[in-house]
Parts: sequence; structure tokens; C-alpha cells
Amino acid sequence: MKRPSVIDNSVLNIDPKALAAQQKDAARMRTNRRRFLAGAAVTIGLPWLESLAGKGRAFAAATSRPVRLIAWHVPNGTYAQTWFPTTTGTSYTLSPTLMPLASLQKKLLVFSGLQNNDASVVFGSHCLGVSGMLTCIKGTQPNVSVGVSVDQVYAQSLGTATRIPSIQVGISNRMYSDIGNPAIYNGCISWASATQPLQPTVDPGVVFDQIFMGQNSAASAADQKKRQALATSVLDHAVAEAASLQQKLGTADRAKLDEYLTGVREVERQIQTSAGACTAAGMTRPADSGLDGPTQSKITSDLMTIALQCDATRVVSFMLGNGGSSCFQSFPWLNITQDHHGLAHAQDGPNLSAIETWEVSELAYFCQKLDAIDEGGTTMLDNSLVFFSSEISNGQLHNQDNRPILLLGSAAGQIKTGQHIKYNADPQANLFITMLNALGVPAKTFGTAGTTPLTGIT
Amino acid sequence: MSHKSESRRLARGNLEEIEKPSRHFRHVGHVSLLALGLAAGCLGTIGDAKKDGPSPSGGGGTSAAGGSAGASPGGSGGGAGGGTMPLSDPGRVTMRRLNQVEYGNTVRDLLGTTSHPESAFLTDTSANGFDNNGAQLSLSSVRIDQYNQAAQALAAEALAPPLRATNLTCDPTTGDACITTFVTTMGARAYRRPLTPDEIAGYLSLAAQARTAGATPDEVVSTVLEALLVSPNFLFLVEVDPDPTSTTPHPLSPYELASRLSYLVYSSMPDDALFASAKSGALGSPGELQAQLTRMLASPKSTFAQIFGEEWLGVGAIETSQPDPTLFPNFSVALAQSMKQEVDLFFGDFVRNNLAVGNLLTANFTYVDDLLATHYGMPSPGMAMTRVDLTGTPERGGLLTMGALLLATSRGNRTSPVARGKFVLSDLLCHDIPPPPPGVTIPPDSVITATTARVFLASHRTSPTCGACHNLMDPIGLALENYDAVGAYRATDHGQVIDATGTLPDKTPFNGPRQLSQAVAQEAAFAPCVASAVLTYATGRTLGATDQTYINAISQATSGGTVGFSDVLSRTVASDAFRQRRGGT
Repeated sequence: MKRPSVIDNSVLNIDPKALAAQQKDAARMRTNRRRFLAGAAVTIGLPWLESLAGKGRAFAAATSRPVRLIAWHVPNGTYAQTWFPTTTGTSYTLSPTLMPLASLQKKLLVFSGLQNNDASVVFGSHCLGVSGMLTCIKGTQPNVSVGVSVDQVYAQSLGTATRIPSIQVGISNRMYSDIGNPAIYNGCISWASATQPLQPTVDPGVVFDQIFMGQNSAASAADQKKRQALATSVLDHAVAEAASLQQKLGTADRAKLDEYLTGVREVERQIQTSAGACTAAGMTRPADSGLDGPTQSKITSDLMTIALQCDATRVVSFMLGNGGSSCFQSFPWLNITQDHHGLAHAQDGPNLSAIETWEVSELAYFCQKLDAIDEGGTTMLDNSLVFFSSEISNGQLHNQDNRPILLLGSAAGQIKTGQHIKYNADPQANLFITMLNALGVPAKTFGTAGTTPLTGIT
Repeated sequence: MSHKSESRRLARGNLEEIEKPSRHFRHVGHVSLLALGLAAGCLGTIGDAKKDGPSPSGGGGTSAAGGSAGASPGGSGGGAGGGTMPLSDPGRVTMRRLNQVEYGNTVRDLLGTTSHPESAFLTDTSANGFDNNGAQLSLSSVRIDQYNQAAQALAAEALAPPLRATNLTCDPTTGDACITTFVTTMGARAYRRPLTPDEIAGYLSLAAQARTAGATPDEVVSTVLEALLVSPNFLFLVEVDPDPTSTTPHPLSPYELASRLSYLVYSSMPDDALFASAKSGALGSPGELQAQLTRMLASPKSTFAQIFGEEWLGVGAIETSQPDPTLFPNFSVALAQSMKQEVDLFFGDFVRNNLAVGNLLTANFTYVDDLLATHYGMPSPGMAMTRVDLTGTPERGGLLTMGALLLATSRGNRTSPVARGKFVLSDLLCHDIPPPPPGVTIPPDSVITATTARVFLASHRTSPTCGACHNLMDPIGLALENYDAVGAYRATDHGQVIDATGTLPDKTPFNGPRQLSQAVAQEAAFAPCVASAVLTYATGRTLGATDQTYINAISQATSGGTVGFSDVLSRTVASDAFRQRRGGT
């Protein structure tokens, strides 16, 4: 992809206090490139990342239009009575829970009647639901094996188009096993391979470091070049050590070392790739922890937005809580003192509706951010696909029928949004085939049950 | 900086009991009842286990009471007591990556840092209740990025004053001479074994590359240290088989064995004395191995009692519990921390004094500070955690009466007798409980809390499907109803005197927590279950059917009729499962 050109930073009024704060934290965040995007600057607010001065931030319209895929997971299913719209078609009425998306209704696609039964078991499992949500494959036990998730199929098709192939972010690092399933299933919707879960990073500050990696505070160009050469040598050395070790190991240990080698090579590539438009200047590194749910969600949305906008990556997955009990234990901002999972088991309509409306409002916050970014007549949301679902359908039944699924954005006009379609137990995997095709991936099958594109949305 | 890694451990109170599986999934020695189907009933093995007892052919440890050196349960030579033991399978450990706690402790001991870079790492997943399972500890590019960034920060810290003087004992301007010294000394501690000449040459080559790239002498050393810290030989506990495809057992090398022992006791790299023992080869002798174990357990660095105890009970994250403040106004994070300290110190006592494992449930002592004593309704011993005699306090004594466990097996607004019963059956007696059948409906909390747990749970009795398992779990949990959701004692609930009577699955009757604890402690399955937890933690792998031999031998009663807790640990360390390994799959 052609990278945006670079201009002087004088177009922005950088807050010196913010810069000083960043430099104090130089070990974790290296910045000072002071390069910004050219072009028809658009100002969008990233309130949780910006300094107290509250300045807008200038970004360019991308010179080409990358298409992004974002996957959102919310835990514990949904309360169908208030979540699903009761009417279908293009002039359907939004349900109470989906009302926060009202301003984006034309860019929203609501699905009813899709199923993902091949991902889970009868008395469903949260773990299998999570690991199967984007893979549409049932995980095995006790050995970890699932399949490649739809976001990773797209990321792998993009290869090295961006510095970071994909980013996984989340809210909770709690994981637990259910019904004998490995706990890792509970915490990962993204799978790079059947045996390679991609765990979300839950600390906003660490996500920030990941996006802005390689930017060295106050370093000269020569120093930066040297630093990059040294870091590359270190990782080359690690690869050589692993290769030597590899020959002495048996199958299981080799597989573990393969995970290591793949990771080292990936980090090496990221170090060698230009940070491009991704500069942390003017932003404040967010705190790592101690945030309430809405704040952390919004910061994470801001981070996802900036990573997509500066084209650090085009693929993001976000877990607003891991599956089952590994989620919010209470919702003080909604005056709900019970835990989400228990409420879902009891199908407590009023409380679940409140929680789910909040979840959708967080999705709306993110999508409105994307929709505020102009990309030459269309918005970043238009040029994206934002998939939203939960690991199970009903929190009491733990089933995979009638999946609660939203899609926002049209992958640059390829998906017909602005409608609610009711399907008759079509596999969710077929939707992923359609999405991949819209993203330019010529997939013909997906998961266990995906054999044909989903009708009615293209 | 706080140890965020603590938060990775789930308090059991956060778990919905209906979906909580056996932490000892597919436990050895017991058929998974899932496979038998519900029609066969939920459990049928407790009575059998009582009759069977430890295998009479379990040999080795029988007469070797007190964890004496040389106890070799399941030893390939047949063990001291038997002679008929077949060649044992030491099991197959998947190469273990250092987990968060191990990484943090290791860089502390290696470099003297106190910066805890691991607190920002991705969380580790646990298996079978423990988070050191090699097969489950995964890696991704994000984690490698975190290791890489941590290595850069650590190298900068370690090579600057005040740590520089201890970490760098040569002059970097002398070039390869200093690099060789540094790699040979620091490298051997990072790799937990001496480096091979090829490996040293590799670091000299890296140093040369760094100089070519314009690195100053200090930057060359820093580059080498960064490379040590991202090497797979540092990040993994590497154990090598002479033939990776052969399933024939072979002893670990002394350095490999030193690492196993060190990560078991210290959750960290070997100390100087253990390295010396490995270097001389002395560690290969069973007596020396036991002597090192004893020495290390007595060290203030020992983390075994704390980490094993907290992970086994699942209480590592109880500070993050959120009991309803309107119902439990006296709950505080400080109280939860005192509860955890009670567990830590209690297990420490068992390790130090080799108390009988049955006493884990029936001890007439515990540790409290003023906060916990008030919570328990006992006289305050003062600000510090203090060992107290429970002779005059019949409500307390043993794990099942500890606030930490009772809190971890409760919901925010109520107790969960099901979770408590399931903990006893699956974690203390190692019986798999199958998941509930399809279509189970749990009533809203308002219905559950409208009456006593005993009245509410009676609905399980009316359904043969539910009753198959709940008739076994519920009575155990109901015997603990005298402890509320934060572990405070109560005589009544919903205005009624609590009925704490019940029976174990094998019909052993009990009335109240004390009798329940005694009954569970006397179950033949209890000591083997303790042994299997220790063996799981010590080896870092999921146990299989062939491990039953070890478990039986490790948990075999001594002449006193019981087995001591540190006997269990020392027999575990003496076992072939710990001292040997094999290739294959």
C-alpha cells in the first residue's frame, strides 16, 4: 500500500506537558518522530488518548482505501426479547437494545436465525462458544485444537501489508475452563491456527506500546537505525538458537518452539517495518489498570481506531469480557450489583437489557468514531466490516441457534446494510464466506459447515 | 508495583457452579463418569476407593516414612519395599515456558531487578488448577514482543548502577574477553546450565554484529544480555532426550533436575548451592536431592506452600471478589488478604512440620490476625498473623472452615452449597462430576435467595437427572451452611437453625463442618488426591492413567497410619515421574 506523505508537525498544537510525560516513560513508549499525515485533515476526537488540552487530531484521508475487519465479542449471550428487532426488511424498527445504533441504522445489518451449532455442544459451553465464534469449528479436549478464525484468515491474506498483521484487545484476563475444555478457549476468539490462540491484551497502556512500538524518544535517525540493527541481531540470534534447539526436541516440544519461532519472526518484521503514520506524539499513554468498564472500553475503542487509522493494522478483535463468568462481576455504572453470568442464566430481562444496551452503546461509540473519519467521500466505517456477536445465543440454554449477530460497514459498498434479515438456520459460517469474499478473499468454504455464501446481503 | 499476575487466578466464587468442571479433569484412577452416562449414576467409586486403598504393589514409599532419602515410589528398580514394580512411565512433560510468576522471580534472582516487567505480560492459562502446565502455556507474537521489550528494559536496568557492579564484572572495552566472561557467567545462570562452546561462539558473533552496527562497548554487552533474555533456553525449561522418539525413560541431567526442583520450591531459577550440586553431579543421588529439597523448603525464598496452597484451593484471586456490600459490610480487600495469608501460613506449617495430610481438614490450629480473628469471632491475637490453638473454637479447624475457601466457593450475595460440595468431591476426593444435562434452568437469584439453601436445593431431589449428581454434592455443601458467603459463622439462616446433617456418597454420615471434615479426611481417596495435586504441580503436566502408580506410592500411609504432607512432597521429588523423563508423544 502506498503510504501517506509526511508533513511538518506545526499543523498541530502539541501539548508540551503531554510530551514531557511521554518522555518520562521512555522505556515503554518511544516517540518523537513528529511526523504527521498530509492531506485533507479531518479532526476526530480520541478523548481518552489525548492530553488534557483536549485537542482534535489531524489525520489524512488514505490515498488508497484499505478495508478493515473488526470483530467484537460480548459475553453470555443476549436477551432475545429486547435484543432482536421484531420486524425485518429495510424499514425494520430497531429493537430497544439496539437503539444506541440508531444514527448508524443505514450502515447496520441485523441477522436473525443464523446458527453455529458445529462450534459447540448440546448444553453449550462458554469456552467452545468463544473459541468457535469466529472459527465455526468445535474445539477439542483435552488438547487444544480449534481452527483459523475469520479475522485471521483475512489477516493472513493481507500478509505483510501492515506492520502488525492483527491486534487482539480485551477487557478481562480471567479465563476458566468449563466442561473439561481448556481455559484458553474461554479467552480467545482469534485463532491464527488450530493450535495457536491469540490472547487479547487487556492493558490499554500495553496496547498503546504495541501500536507505537519502535518509536524511540529523542533518538536521532542514526541512533534509531543502530537500535533497529541491534534489535534485529538479537532476534536473529534467537532464531538461530531456536533452530539449533529444534533438532534436539520431540514433536510436542517442537510445536511449542514453533510458536516461539513464529512470534520472534513476526516481531522482527515489525521492528524492521516503518511505523509509518503511527505516531504517539500528542497522545497520553493510558493507564494499565484500575479503570471501570466503560472507560476501559472507550480507551480501547480509541486505540483500535488509531491503529486502524494510521494503518498499523487492518484487523482487530475485541472482547468486551471473556466468556461466561470471566466477565464483569457487577455493573456499578448501571447500578447492577449482580454478575453478568448469573443474570444471563436467570434470563433476568430488565438487567440483561440494561447491560446489553450498554454493550451496544460501546459498539456505537466505536463505530461512530470510524464513521467520523472521512476517506474521500466515504468513511472508515464504510470501508470496514464490524462483526458483533456473543459466544452463545441464550445465556440459560447456552445454545448456538438464532445467533445474535450485527454487521456494520459495507467493506466499501459490497455488503447491503440497512436491513434486518431473518434466516432459517443457515450456518453462521456462510456469513463468513460472504464477508471474506467482500474483503477480497476468495473463500469457498469456512469452518465445519460453511459451504456457500449467505444470500441476501450482497 | 503490584503483582497483577495475582488477578489471573480465579476465585471460585466468580464461577457459576453449574459450569464449573472438575479441575482434575479426567482424573487418574477414576473412570470419567461422563463416559458412563448419567443413567449409571453420578459416582460409584468412592466406596470402592475406600476398600481398595493404595495399591499394595505401590512399593517404594511404604517403609520409607518421613520422606527419607531414596524413597522411590514406582521406581524403575521396583522400589525399596516391592521389587515387583514394572518399569514406570515418567510421563511426557511438554517444554514449559516460564509463567508470569516464574519469569518475575527469575529475573529478580538473575539480575537483582525489582521492576516486575511480568506484570504487563499476557495472562497465563491454568490447567488442572495450576498455571505451570507446559502444554497449556502458549506463545504468540504479542507475548514475544512483550519479552523483547522487557529484555530491553531489563538490560538497561541491569547494566546501570547500582546493579551494574554485580551483573558486569569485566571491562566492556576489552571486547571479546569481557563478552566471553559475561556470557559464560551470566549465560550459565540464564540458561540454568553451562553454555556449549557453540553457544558462546554464537554470542561472540552477535557481539561482532553489534560492533559493526556501531554499538559502543556498553551497548554490545546490553545487546548480548537482551539476547540471553529472549533466548528459548532462558524462556523455556528445556529438557532434552537422547532420542526424542524413544519412550524409554532416562534420568534428567543434573541441571535439568535442578531446574525442576527450583521451580517447584522457589518458582525461580536455582540458587548457588543448587547449581553447585548440579555441577558436581551430586544432585543425581537421591540423598542429595532430598537434602537440597529440605534446605530449599526452609529458605525464605520458598514459594511452594503459598503457590501450591492458593492454586490448589483456587483462592489466589479472592481480593478481587465482590461480595454485595449491603449484605457483607465487613468484607474488605484487607480481610481477603488476611484470609489468603491464613492459607499460606497453614500450608507452610504442614510443609515445615510434616503434619499428616488428614490434618489439612481437621487441624486444631490456624493462623489469624486481628482482622480475621474478629471475622471468625475469636479473641484478637494482635496485628500480626499468629498461630492460634482452636481447642476452644469448635467452629474453625481445617481447610473447609477457612474464610478463603468459603469465600471462593460463594456467589456475591449467597453461599453456593453446590460449588462447595463439588470442590470437596472433585478437588479433595478427585472424582469427576459430569456437567449438567441439556436444558437446565436455573431460577432467578430472587427465588434462590428467598429461602434456605436446603429448602431450595430440595428441587434437585425431585429430578432423577439432577439428583444423580446433586444428591452427592449438595449434602456436602449444605454441611457448610454455617458459613456465609464471606465465611463468617452463623447459626441460623432465614430465621431457621441450620441443619448441617448429611452423608458422603459412601453413606458415611456427618453433622456439621467438623464431622464432615473428619469424614472426608478419613476417605481413602483423600491422601491420593492430595498426592495427585502435588504431582501435577511438581511436573507441570496433566496426569494420565500410568501415574496412578506414583500417586498410590506417594500417598501410602506410613507405619503411623497416615502420611505427612512433606512426605508427599519429598516422595514426589524422589519419584521417577520427577527425576526422569522420556521422549515420544
